[in-house]
Amino acid sequence: MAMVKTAVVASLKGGTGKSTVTANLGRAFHRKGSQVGLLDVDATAPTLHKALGLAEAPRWETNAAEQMIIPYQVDDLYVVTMASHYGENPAVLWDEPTLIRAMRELNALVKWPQLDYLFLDSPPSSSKFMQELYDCLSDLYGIVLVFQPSDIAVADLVRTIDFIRIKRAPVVGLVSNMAVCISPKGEKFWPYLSPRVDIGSVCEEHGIPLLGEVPLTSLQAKVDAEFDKIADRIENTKPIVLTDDLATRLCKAIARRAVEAVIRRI
Amino acid sequence: MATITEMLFNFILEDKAMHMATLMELSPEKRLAVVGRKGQIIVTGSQGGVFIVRLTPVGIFREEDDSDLRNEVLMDYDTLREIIIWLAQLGAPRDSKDPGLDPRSAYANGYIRISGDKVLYDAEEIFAALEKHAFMKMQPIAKHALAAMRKAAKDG
Repeated sequence: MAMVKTAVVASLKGGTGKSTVTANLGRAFHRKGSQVGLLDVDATAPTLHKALGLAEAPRWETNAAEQMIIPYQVDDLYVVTMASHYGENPAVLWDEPTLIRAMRELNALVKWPQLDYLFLDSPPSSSKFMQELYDCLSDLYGIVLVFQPSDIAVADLVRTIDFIRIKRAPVVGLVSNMAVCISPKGEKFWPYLSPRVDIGSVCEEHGIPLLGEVPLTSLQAKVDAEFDKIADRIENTKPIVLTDDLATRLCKAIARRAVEAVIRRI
Repeated sequence: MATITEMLFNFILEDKAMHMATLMELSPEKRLAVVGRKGQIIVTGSQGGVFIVRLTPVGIFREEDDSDLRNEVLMDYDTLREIIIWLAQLGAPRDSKDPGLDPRSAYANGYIRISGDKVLYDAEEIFAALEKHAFMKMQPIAKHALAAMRKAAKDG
């Protein structure tokens, strides 16, 4: 039986579009004929189901005989989110040990069908929770980094790379999300006040695959086309483990590009 | 003198017809899985109480022995009071000034703690059974309990 490839969609910065990327990755791999599971492990602010177009996450179904949780299906994707458990509105005020225990349970309690890929939508955090998540994913295939190519996002990309280096987790590559805005008329523009940083060349210099540059647009066909390419690259990429040296050089290069981007704006 | 929580639980535990009706609404697999389970409910505060209960084929019964507990549910009396206020208004226009608190929100907010070996699974089963089967049957009890609570509060 083929092993499921488990990938964490990660960024220490909030608002980079991890849930949207997770949903689109799921759809892209499904279009390629893969069986895909999506697990939202952002226990305090789960939004994956929203990215899949659901106003509300359906309640969990349980298998009484095996005492397991059954994923619900959205567009033939198998989905599990904590939003099903406590609803859409309440603030989740669990202490960290409780969150960690819940995450460990969730990883063990879901009765997934035979999957080719399982994508985990993770919270923007380097907390003990995230450290434990990587520790309990013994069969982790790799991390898909999600970042915007803006100066303000770069500081957190450096921190994310340092976190991954410490955890010795393999990296599949980086998705440059909301890389450019495309209007309904097809006009391209940079929508942010923060200067644009050329993350692609940094990735290229240091051997981290740039998986794709996803536009911010309502033209879903353009987004789908980019994610189809990203899915191809993920399939054909061997994840790399960042050595101390590579991570340090990468962080310095990203910081340098950010400074250059700011100087160009002066 | 019995606390308000004890009076409320005694009401609920006496209603074997409600237990049986709820049990019969479960799927045969689920019924088989849950019958025999034993849990402890602890409500803290001067109006609280401790209850060890077991689900049997003929209803829920109170026990004294605290061995073999599958789950422990812990909350304070104020949380129970909020849940009863919420339950008393179920299916009716909610009082915007005093809407109460639904059990899942109380759990997410950390006002209800559930322990056990499979907390997520068990919590989901408990909430689902209450929502799908028991809440509407418990509503008359909640209305009586709310009236008793308000009277007790007024009497000081």
